[in-house]
Parts: sequence; structure tokens; C-alpha cells
Amino acid sequence: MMLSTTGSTAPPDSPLLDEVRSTSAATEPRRPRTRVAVRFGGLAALVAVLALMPSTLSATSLLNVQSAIGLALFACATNLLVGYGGLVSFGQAAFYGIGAYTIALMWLHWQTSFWVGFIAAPVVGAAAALLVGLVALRTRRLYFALLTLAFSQLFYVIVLQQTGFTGGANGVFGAILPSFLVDPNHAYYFTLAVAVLALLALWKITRSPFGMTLRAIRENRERAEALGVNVFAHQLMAFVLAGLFCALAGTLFVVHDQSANPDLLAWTESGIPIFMSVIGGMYLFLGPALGALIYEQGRDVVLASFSDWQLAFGVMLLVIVLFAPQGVLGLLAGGRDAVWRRWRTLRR
Amino acid sequence: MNGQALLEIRELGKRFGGFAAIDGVDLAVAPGTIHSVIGPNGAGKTTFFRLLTGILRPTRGTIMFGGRDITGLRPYAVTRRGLTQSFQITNVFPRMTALESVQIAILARRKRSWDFASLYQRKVTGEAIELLDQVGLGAQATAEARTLSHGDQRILEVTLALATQPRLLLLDEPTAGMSPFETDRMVELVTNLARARHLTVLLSEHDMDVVFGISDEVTVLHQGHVIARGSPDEVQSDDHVIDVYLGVEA
Repeated sequence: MMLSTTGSTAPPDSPLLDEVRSTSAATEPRRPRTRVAVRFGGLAALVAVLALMPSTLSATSLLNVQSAIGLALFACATNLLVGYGGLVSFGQAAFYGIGAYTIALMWLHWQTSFWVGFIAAPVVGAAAALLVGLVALRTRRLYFALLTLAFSQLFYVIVLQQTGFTGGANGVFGAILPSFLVDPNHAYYFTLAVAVLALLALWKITRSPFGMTLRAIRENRERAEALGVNVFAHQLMAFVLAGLFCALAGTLFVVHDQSANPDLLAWTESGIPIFMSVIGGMYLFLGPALGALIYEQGRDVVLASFSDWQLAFGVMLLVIVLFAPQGVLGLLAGGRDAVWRRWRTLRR
Repeated sequence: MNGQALLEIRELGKRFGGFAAIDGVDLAVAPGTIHSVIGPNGAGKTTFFRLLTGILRPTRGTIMFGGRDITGLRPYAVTRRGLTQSFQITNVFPRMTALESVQIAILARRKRSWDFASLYQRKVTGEAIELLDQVGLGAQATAEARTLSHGDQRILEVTLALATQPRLLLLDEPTAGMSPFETDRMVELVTNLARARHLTVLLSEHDMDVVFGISDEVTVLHQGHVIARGSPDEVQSDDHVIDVYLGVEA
């Protein structure tokens, strides 16, 4: 049932309606073809470059890149909450750690294959997130951040103290990986493939009606609720999805380190994906991924000449928060848009 | 008349500690009418609306809507049943475009906000644009809500409520802070909508010209009580109302 008031009295070929039609065409997320080609070409090139890494990098550098790729997934999964949902969770390391420990403990106690653990880990992560979310999402803002922090500390203490089951402070290590993944190149390609597929899934989610609704809730939860959106249920689903993908990122840690240790669940570890999101830019999908790369590579560069990496990192974070709150990728995107506009005016 | 009322409120009360903000209000709104709730500042109008939409829980009384008890339902559930509110303060999605905002409302109504992998929002673009065009915001469809003028934000606010296709539209001070020109635009919009969609409207309003110009029925709240109700003419000539409210205004 459409209302028929002022607008429909205009004849269908009136300039007003034409204007509306052109607006609607411009609104469709269909961009000019060249631009789409440029964008996807860029992403394909990025993946291609990453795929060529094993043949160009030393074994140590390759491991570093592999670590950055895993952390990129961790950061983007966390950013589904922080950037898209406006939910600053300070406990995502719990799910990251749960992902790693699911594989490690199943291997340790029941000798299950890595692959079974790899499938089980995201499920366990999502289940844990459901329990935490049911409680934590009853609160807002600072209280939400503190509750997620408290839950992650709870998991951390459990892992640390149940020495008989979890190995305590020593963690779990050994021949967890199947022979296929012991080869460094295979491990790298596996990490890259899992991360790319998971990021594609996350990207699809952020563009879906669900992702759009999540952004609306971030902008104004009272208004969203008044429009008939079950805010709590949507936020809970976002929390479960973030837990699932954080746990998946945790499995990539096992691929990288062949171990699981309690530090994965420590509160400092929860800060890392948030810092990465801030550095790279939390309002662009791949911002946190770029942040992960900068964080991982930047640490090595700084450590080579300067012992206090944390200090340098703190200064960098401060500069970005004060002068470029849209993050590095936000800056780059702004520059690209400016160049693009210039290019289009020149061609005319 | 009570038997056919779309909205029927009985003995509604809300206490904040020892203070009764709403104290035993009865009210019935007939379908297809425009019903205004007026009263001096602090009379309880906003609290009253917040009770109806589920933002606040009443301490006593019942709210029947379309023959069903909706007392104590959560806000989204009230909206799903066809009772939608437009807010007094401008309440939009600042960093979303007008079009996206309307799409959100349509997605929620069609229960598509749970689609994880589709691009279903594109399928409702046409409906959203049509609606924006009908309220005169077609040209601003791609503008972020925060960049719209105050008057346009208020119109967008009402448009969002309309996109849920309500049976009853609650308007809390729709012309608050508007210029005379913008007020006329809003009044025209509301009356046109009510007629064209056979929409029932319950509104609170400070501008007495607006209230007595468009209402079929007026209820006067004072200190949480109903002190008068009836047609605009009856209410305007009511001695008690003139005493506590209209006399002060004039």
C-alpha cells in the first residue's frame, strides 16, 4: 500500500520524477565500470603479491607475513563489532585463544586430527560468544567494554589454573599440525586461503541488509528499535559472528606457532585488534587488515634500531587518533577519491 | 465507540519513585482520526508516548491496540504490530543517507534485516525513493541525514515512521523548533497522509493553531490526569482548560 499524496499527482514524465530517477540511479551502489575494475583489480593484485611471497621472501620474513595475515583476520573480525556495530569489546582475545586451544586440547586429550579441531574451533568460539554476549550485551558502552574484559580474564584464569587439562602457563605444544601443514609454504598458502575466504564472507556480511542494520544501530539504537529492529538480537548475532571469526583467526595462530598458550587470552591481546583497527581505519572494511600489516611489520622495523617498540607504537597511535581519526586506509581512500575526481574532470 | 477503537488505554499509570507522572489515564482513538494530546510543560505528554511505544513500562493499566494487549511489549515488537513513533527531538541516523535510512525501515518491516549475504536493500530502493519523493525529499535521497536542514530532518523522521507502514502513527511534537513555513509543510504532510492512507494519528503538539486546525479530537493532560476531552471546539471553550493551559498561552 503506497500513499498517494503530493508526488503522485505529478505526471510520470515530469522533471521532478526524472530527477528522482537519476538520483536513484546514482544511489545504486553500481559505480562506473572502470572504477569497479580498478578496485577489484587492485585487490586481485594484492592477493597475487601475497601469493608470490613464498618464492621471494626468506623463511623468517614469510612467517612474519603469515602472522600478519592471521592477525588481519583477527582485526577485521573484531572490527565487525567495533567499527560496524559500535560495540567496543575488550575481550575478543578470549575467542582468539579459544580457537587455538580447541585445536590444541582436542589433539592433546583425544588425539583428534588437526582438521577436526579446525572445523570445531569456530563452532566453539561462536558458542562461547553466545554465552558472553547474552550477558555483556545487556549493558552499554563502558560497562559493555568492562564486562567483555572481565569475561576474557575469566577464560584466561581458567586456562592458566586448570593445569591438568590445559597445561597451565606452559600451554600446549607438540606435533599438532598434520604433515601437510608442516611445510612452511603449505602453511603460508593455507593461512592465506583461509583468511581470504573468511574476509570475503565478512565483507559480504557487512554489505548485506544485516550489516546495514548493524550500522543503523551503531548510529542510533533507539531509532532503530522504534523502526521495528530487535536491537539486542542483532547485536548478539554480530557478537557471535565476531566470536566465530576470531576463533578462526586463532586456528591460524596454531598453524603459525604449532602451539597454544595462555597469553593468547590475555587482556593485552584484546587491545591489539582494536589498535590495528584504529591505525588502519575502522570505517573501511580492509582498514584493520592494513593496520595488522603496519603493526606486525612496523614492530620489526622499529625493533631493529630502537628497543622500546611499545613507546614508538604509542606515539604512532596518538598521532593517528589526533590527526587522522579515519586511519591510514581512510587517508589513502580520501586521496584516491580526490585523484579520481581530478581524473574525471580532466577527461571531460 | 470504545468497541471499535484502534487504540484503547485504560487506567494507565507510571510512577517514578513517589512521583506519579501519569496517573490513571483513559483514552480511546478511533480509526482514521487525528487525535491530539495537549497540556502544559510537565503534564506528562512525553512520558505518556513513551509508555505507548514500550520505551517505558507502565506501573499500572493496559494498552489495547487493534484488539490486542500490547502493554509491556518491547519497542520493536510494538512497531511490528503497527504502532510507530516519530520522535520529538530530531532522531535520525546521522551518518546514513536519507535513502539508506528509509531502506533500513523497509528492511525491518519486511523482516529482511536478517539477510547475511544478499543485497536485498537494492530491491527496496524503488519503494524508498518513491516514499522520499512523496514527502518532498527525493532530491536529498543521497545526502547524509546530518547534512539536512532541521525541517528536512524532521520530515525524514516522520518518513522513517511511515516506511514501517503503521496503522497508528504517534507524532511527538512534530513541529517543534520549526519555522512557520516548515510548520505549514509538516501540517500539510500529516493531513494529506492521514487522508490518503486512512492513517490514524495520535500527536502531541505545542502549537495550538496546529492542534485545533487538524484534530478530530483533543485530550488535555494536566499533572498526569486527563482534565478534558472532546472536539477542538469543546476543549477550547472548557473553563478548566482555559484556567490551567490556554489562558496562560494567550
